[in-house]
Amino acid sequence: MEGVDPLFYAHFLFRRRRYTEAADVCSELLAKNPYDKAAWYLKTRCLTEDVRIDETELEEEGLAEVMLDENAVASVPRPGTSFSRPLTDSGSSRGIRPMSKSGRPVSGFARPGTQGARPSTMEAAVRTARSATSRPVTSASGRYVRLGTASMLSGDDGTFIDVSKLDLRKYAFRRGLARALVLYILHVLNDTGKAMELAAYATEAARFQDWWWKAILGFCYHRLNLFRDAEKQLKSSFKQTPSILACMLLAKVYIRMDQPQNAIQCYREGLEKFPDEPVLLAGIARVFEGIGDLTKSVEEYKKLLKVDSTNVEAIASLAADKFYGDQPEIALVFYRRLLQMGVESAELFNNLGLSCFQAQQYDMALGCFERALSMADDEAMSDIWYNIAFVGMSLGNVKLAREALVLAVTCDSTNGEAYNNLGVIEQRKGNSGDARGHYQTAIKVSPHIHEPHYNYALMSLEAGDLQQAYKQVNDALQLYSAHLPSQDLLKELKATLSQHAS
Amino acid sequence: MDGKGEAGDPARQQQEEEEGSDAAASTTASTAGSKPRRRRRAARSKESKLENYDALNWRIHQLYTEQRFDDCDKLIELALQRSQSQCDYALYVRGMILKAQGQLKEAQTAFQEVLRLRPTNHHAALQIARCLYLSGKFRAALDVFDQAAEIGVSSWRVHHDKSMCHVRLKQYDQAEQLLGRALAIYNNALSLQQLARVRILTSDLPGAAKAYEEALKISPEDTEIMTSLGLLYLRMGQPSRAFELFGTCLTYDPRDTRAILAAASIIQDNEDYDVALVKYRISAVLTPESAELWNNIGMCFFGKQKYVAAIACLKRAAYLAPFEWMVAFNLGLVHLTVGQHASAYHFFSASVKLRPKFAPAYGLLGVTLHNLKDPESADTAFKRAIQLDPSDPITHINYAVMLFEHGDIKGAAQQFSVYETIADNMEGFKEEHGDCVHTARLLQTKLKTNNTSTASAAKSSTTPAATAASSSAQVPPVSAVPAANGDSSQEMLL
Repeated sequence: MEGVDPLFYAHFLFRRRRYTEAADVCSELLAKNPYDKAAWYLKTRCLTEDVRIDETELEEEGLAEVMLDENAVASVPRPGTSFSRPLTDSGSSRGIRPMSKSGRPVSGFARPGTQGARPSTMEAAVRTARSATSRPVTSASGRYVRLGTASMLSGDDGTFIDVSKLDLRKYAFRRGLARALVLYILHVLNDTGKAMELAAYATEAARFQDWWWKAILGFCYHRLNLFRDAEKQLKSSFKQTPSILACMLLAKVYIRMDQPQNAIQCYREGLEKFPDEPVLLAGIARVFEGIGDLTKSVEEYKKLLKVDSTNVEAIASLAADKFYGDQPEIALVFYRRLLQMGVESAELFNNLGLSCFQAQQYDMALGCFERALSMADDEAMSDIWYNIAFVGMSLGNVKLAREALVLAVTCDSTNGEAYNNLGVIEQRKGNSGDARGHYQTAIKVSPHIHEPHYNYALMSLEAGDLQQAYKQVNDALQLYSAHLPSQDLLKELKATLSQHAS
Repeated sequence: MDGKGEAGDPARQQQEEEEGSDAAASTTASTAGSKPRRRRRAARSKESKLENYDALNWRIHQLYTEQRFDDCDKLIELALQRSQSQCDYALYVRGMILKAQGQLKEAQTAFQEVLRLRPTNHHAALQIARCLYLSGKFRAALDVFDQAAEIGVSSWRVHHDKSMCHVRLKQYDQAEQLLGRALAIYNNALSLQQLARVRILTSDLPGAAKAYEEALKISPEDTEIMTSLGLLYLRMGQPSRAFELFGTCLTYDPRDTRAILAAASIIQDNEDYDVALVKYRISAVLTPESAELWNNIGMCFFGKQKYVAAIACLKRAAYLAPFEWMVAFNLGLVHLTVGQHASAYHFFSASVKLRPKFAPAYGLLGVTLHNLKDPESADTAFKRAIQLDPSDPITHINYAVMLFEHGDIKGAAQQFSVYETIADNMEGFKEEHGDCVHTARLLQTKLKTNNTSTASAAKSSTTPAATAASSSAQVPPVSAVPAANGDSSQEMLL
């Protein structure tokens, strides 16, 4: 590239997202002239963009944040007003829609934050969901620091900017440079304190009239877990100039403060200014899903799909809803659409197989399961075998079901549902000893499902051991208080136990 | 059954014993008195020199009968502290509370403690036996009961509990004898219900019904007895009496799901589908996860010839209870009716695999296979159906149609004659199965013409001749992921 102006070339590379190369060109320029502001600016942007991730949407809360949360107002909130206490009676019932390990309905789309609902005990928090990686201990020390060190290593001349030597007050007046600098500090250096200092000076310099700096200030407060201050800054920013950035960040702050209704309100306000904004629509849908209001969540996903017809999250969520709502044919259409869009994963083929089976397209179903098995990892494999077992059961092929379940627990020894069904099959064959063992394992590995408790209680009752039965049925009801068979069983047990001998 | 009177017994007995053993108690009390102030006051008042261990008993009894177990437990703790664990009534009630809360081992220990204090307390001994029975140690329980009988304890309750143990050990004769003895002492509903259950187990249905009737006389508002009796009558083929009982039951408790389901299934049998659906709607709110409910709703829609709705409901039932052969059978039936033979085949084969002894499933499997143009397999299926139940006319007529269409005129005629004899002997069959008779007539004419000239292959109409025969709603036994068993209407197809 002889003859081309190096700065232009760097810009060219930057626009094509070849950040490392662009940064190298800038470095050369800076080596010639250390005071070249344009090169300095561009290099800052390059380094930032290289490691920046969009932090407006998703967040996995760390263990420390969840357990030592001091922001929640009520310790026992009313259902529907908190993520830790989802609505129980809305959407589909537990008998129809299975639960994920954290004890909430299986969602159609796995994303950070959906797998780990707010656990109520430390024990529950440490336990990891089957389809999610383990929870970071805290988000503050986890991801940010890891990313930070990585980026520093990639820097060719050690640290590019030594912030401690900069006079931030001076930079606050150089508007363009300051913006690039604050993003660099936030994303590359991960020094939130410094970033906040700069943002504070810059807001002051702009006479508290600049929405962008306010939003960044709010973002910094949010990162430091100072949610009330963050809320104030972001609200003021949004009031001054409505922006999606501020709206998303504000909603995120509300979510962290466990105020889902406020978050929804915030998204709605954002939607008034920016009608049909997909990001905001998706946000509302997620919050509704978080508080367990699946009906409303599905409505929002439908709106989202109208605006953005290729949104994978919306399609997958709607498909899951249709599947569990007795419309497997429509679910099948949605899943086919995903396949057309080029999504290819074991989970998708698994879902396709299951929908095909429910829609009685048996030949397709088995093919889909085979495809799914060929591309699955261990956890997904376990679930697929579990589904094949369900197919076997529905076709009356108990042998197939049993084999498949054994494979399911071989792939993932924490698959409690599979253990439970194995127990049921053994019990049908009359092997109560094996069945008991399976139920006990199921209870141990998946404390969130009520079925093994109920089955175990029934079995104990048949064997005449009422103490065990009483205990198990109580456990079942604790997990799922609306389970009618358990309620009946408990009533019967209570009557038997309290009879007197005279 | 909450024995105010019964629990009161020990208290009374307690007081009687108290008078006798006053002197013994006084010595321990004076050494045990830990609070000087109390002693001073005791010294002042002449009439109550002693610490009365049983001073709190009335309150313990009251709290226990009010089922305020937590308060009661605290008070017991206090009473035991004061008496240095010598108050046997408090211990006894503690045992009762533990037992009611399902902690049988702990309860047993408490009762044993009572026995240690007062070896003559036969109430505690009986409670120990009961604890043993409740935790599944039937033989040990029987031993204790026998010991109690040796020292002369005899009440209806002992006989009743002993009979329960015998039932668990599958010794039904002894159980029935013991219940008879219990009833001779005290004619009560509980023992009568138990007697009915034993008689059902020994398949003495009329006897069981009699016992339930007696029980209903003693406690005429017990919905539990009503539903059980109703289901029994349904099993004995007396739907009108059963329906009456369910109706009474629903006036007492309009939300009794078992009664709703059973009553609606009788209505459904009388082909009054809309009324049945209204009843099911009440039940659907209460038990949305009941497979038998969805099955019956599905068959209601089938009766109304709304096949898509029927399939959707039955599918849900199958989802909830994959091991339920009847749901699979019904699904097969609906699919056969709408002409989706491949699906019907899958459902029938599932049904047959889950329950190999049900003849109509084989019969319909034969019809399906015949429609799928597999006469050999169809033939096998029909033969199996006839082998399982040779007295079902529908299987014979279907077999005859199939044989005829494949040109086996002789076989068809033979099957047809078998059908004729069975159908003629079966009372009311021809009135109920109009379609069946229609097909038979068609086939008959075809067979006759066939004798003279080999005419074109007859196309006998295979319209469904439907009757619902419903089995009774039962308490769900072992459940699959979520599952249940019970009431469903199966339908026959020609």
